[in-house]
Amino acid sequence: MKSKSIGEFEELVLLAVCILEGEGYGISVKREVEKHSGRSILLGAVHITLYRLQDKGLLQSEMGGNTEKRGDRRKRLFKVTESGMRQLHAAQDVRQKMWQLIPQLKPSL
Amino acid sequence: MKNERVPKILILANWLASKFINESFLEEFLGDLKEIYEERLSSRGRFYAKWMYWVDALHLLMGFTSFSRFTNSNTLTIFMLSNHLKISWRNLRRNRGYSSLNLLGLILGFTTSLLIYLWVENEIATDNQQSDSDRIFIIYSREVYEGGTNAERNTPARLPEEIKKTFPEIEFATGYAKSFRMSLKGVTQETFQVNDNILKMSGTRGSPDFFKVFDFKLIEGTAESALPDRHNIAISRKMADIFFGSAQEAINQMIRYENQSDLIITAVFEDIGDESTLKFDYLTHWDAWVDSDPIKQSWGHFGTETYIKLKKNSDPWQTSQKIKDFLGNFMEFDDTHRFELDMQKFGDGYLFGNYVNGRPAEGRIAYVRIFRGIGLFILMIAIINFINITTATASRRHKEIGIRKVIGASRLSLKTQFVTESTLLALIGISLSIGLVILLLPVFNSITHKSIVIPFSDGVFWLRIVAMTVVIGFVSGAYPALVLSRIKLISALKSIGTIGSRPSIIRRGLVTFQFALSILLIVAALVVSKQAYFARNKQLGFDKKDLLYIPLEGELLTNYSLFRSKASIMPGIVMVDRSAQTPHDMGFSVPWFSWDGKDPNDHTLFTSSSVGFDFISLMKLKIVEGRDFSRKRPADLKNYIVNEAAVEAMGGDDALGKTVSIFGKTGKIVGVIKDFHYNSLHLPIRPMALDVKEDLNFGTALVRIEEGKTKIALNSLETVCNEINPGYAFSYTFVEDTYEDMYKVESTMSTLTQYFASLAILISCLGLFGLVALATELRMKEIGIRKILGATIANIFQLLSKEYVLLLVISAAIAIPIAVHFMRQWLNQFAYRIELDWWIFGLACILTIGISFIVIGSRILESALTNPINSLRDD
Repeated sequence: MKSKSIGEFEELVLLAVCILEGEGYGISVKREVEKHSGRSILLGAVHITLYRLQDKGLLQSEMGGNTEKRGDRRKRLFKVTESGMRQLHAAQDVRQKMWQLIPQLKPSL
Repeated sequence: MKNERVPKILILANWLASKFINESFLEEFLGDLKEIYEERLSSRGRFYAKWMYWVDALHLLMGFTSFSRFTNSNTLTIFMLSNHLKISWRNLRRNRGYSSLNLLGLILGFTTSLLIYLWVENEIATDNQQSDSDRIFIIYSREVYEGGTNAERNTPARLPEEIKKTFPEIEFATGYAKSFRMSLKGVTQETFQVNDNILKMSGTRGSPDFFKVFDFKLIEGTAESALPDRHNIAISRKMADIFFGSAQEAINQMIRYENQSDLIITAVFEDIGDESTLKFDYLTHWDAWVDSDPIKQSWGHFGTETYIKLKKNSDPWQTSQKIKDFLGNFMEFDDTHRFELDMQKFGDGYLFGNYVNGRPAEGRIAYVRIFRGIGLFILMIAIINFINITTATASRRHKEIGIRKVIGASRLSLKTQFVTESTLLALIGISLSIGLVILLLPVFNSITHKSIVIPFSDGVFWLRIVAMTVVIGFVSGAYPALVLSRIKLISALKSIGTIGSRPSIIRRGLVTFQFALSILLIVAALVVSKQAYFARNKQLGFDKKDLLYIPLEGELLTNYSLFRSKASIMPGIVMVDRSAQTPHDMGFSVPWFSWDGKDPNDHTLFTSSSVGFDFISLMKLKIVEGRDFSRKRPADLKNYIVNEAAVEAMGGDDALGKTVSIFGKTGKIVGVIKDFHYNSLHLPIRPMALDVKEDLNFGTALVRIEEGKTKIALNSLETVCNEINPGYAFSYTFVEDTYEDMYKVESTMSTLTQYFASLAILISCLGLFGLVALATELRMKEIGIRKILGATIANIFQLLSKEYVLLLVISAAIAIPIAVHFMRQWLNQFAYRIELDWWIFGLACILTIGISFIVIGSRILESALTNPINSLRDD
């Protein structure tokens, strides 16, 4: 878990790629993140994050799916790797544990 | 190709991206960009889509350049540039005070010079909008007599017709009358009527060729058929709208003219804009007008203008040689007196409108030159400031430069840093200035009586702006770039030998130059406003208050005596009389006035004018010798009254009783009046001879009204006029108002120079303030030590200000002789002018030195008062 920890925006992008199930590329990820987080994001930010995540080994990618809408250019489709999945779970676990430690919320349990 | 659907500007963005992004990643980026573009195009519109395309593309570039694996080798440049921009921005923010000082000076300077630039362009464009402007010429006449030549635009009215007949290279020729009643100069108005709509419009006459010589746009009708016949008229869109509702409805309609004839409208032309000096709402037929009056048909009467268009490929110079002696065919000349013709380009006529020694010379071009000079001066002052402050602030950054050098910055990279910084500042300044100019234009237009707009669609204009930004950026960044990138590493880190603790020779030179320019402008502002005030308030020798004139036309002209007797007894009116020419503009001068014992070679010009019996008492002129004309002496209809200048011209003494004659009428001089200004102060008072005519139909009615009863008097006049002359619209002009027009140029000049001078001194002071502030800041330690050793505040003040006082004195010494020279030249165009008193220069110097001293002093005092502990505690 040394250098593999991820930031908040990275986590959102990673989750979006998961949701898209192999159909994740620059624009679809951007749209997904915007839809759920409600903020507007620059395309470049998404791109950079996707590559950074790939560098960390959390994503893998292949080229494919050229359409006329894109001027016959292919897109890079991203998929989550196993370690990416593990990373998401780890992040989720950490939060879960910490949430349970918040005292004010206990009475309702 | 799919690419065709991508706008050009986006291809540029793609190209840019391809230069910096590694090829293997390019495809997906561009694909994403294209896809999102299409999406935005359909949801938010073209502009937004394009804009965001660029934002995204640049953002990608900036983002990816920090990832070396995505980029190709060009990226280092982009990376450095973005780093430079970032550092520049941080520096500007850190030195917020100096940056805004710098920016303010630049904005003021640039705004001013941009306004001047627009004004100058507008002046140059005047009369230069014609499509064949290199073939359109003014024909002017030159009178050559013993001892001199004299040229003017006026030519005989039949010249256009004859000259076109004789010379085949002249394709078209037209006459044009600037004012066609001798009694009423300037804008002449005539009455038109359609049904019950009676209105006065201002216009003139033109030959059938008029619209072939000039390409004023025709909405209805063609250039061929614009004015085919004597009963035709061409009118403007405005006039068509007023009388008929639209141009389409006006064409081929009938309009009643001067209650005398019905004219058929054969053309409607587009309203004539400010860029033309020929201004008219209608044109009636030239021949109809010339034929109506035998005087106009005479070749000796020079009263109208002639314009020609040469055939393509004909040589203007040859033509001008051929037409030179053309008038000899129609007039008799002798060795001592003849008229010649010459040509001047129509486009030059506006700027070179004055004739000196028989040729076109100066004119408004003088103002264009002056303003261009002022614009350049102010721009220079602003740039100097910019350089000064940039250099001075830059010299505080030794440590930064040292560190950069340590980590391996090349000199080139340091230079780029400084130039980027100054260009960025210049760009901000210029963008803000353009915004400011947009805000200021309405005010500027009302001062200059123009309708200037920013030429947003003009590529040349933007090119100049961009060039200006780059030049300012480079020039002002160059000095710090060169000097500071050269300093030795050790001294940079130790801050030894700081540049800027004492202004360098260059900077001192620049400050001196700046203040010399400011003093020059202040002197100009003082002189010009003083002269303008002088011109407007000079005692003219007659009472211009409560004096108005009414054009005599229709029944008013033919039945003048009825009008006079009726109007004179109406309430509010003191006296009614008439004069052949309006009293402030009597230009009609001839060399033919003769007296007993006149030297036959004496061609002195005499202003000759006919008036009514009461003219002298109505005008409140002063009689110095002899008596006024009197109705009780019928012989006075042959007699003359002259002015003092005329007595002088006739040899001095004993003018009374002399027998004199002009135009075949001989009589005696019965009185001498004191000289009065019957012309603009640009012109000297000429000898003048007045005679009385009672029964002829001539002139303009002059009315003296009772003080404070203007309204009543105007009502009375309108009643009388409408009663006697129902077919004409009543119009009048106050003599006093015409003086505003007469000195319009001067008062505009005086307002503008005042503004410009204040701006110049303001900008200079901003710069000085910045310099002094920095210089003292860098010497704070010295000040601290001096204070500890016992220096008083006065000592320190003296120490710090000594230098600047010297600079100011030098700049005054440079500026004053130059100012004297230019102001003399400017004043020379007035026959009556103010003296260049020494106090004007004194005042300018005191103002400049005083203001700058307040600026310097406040800053110096602040440092002198600082407790030494604050400045020395760091060591």
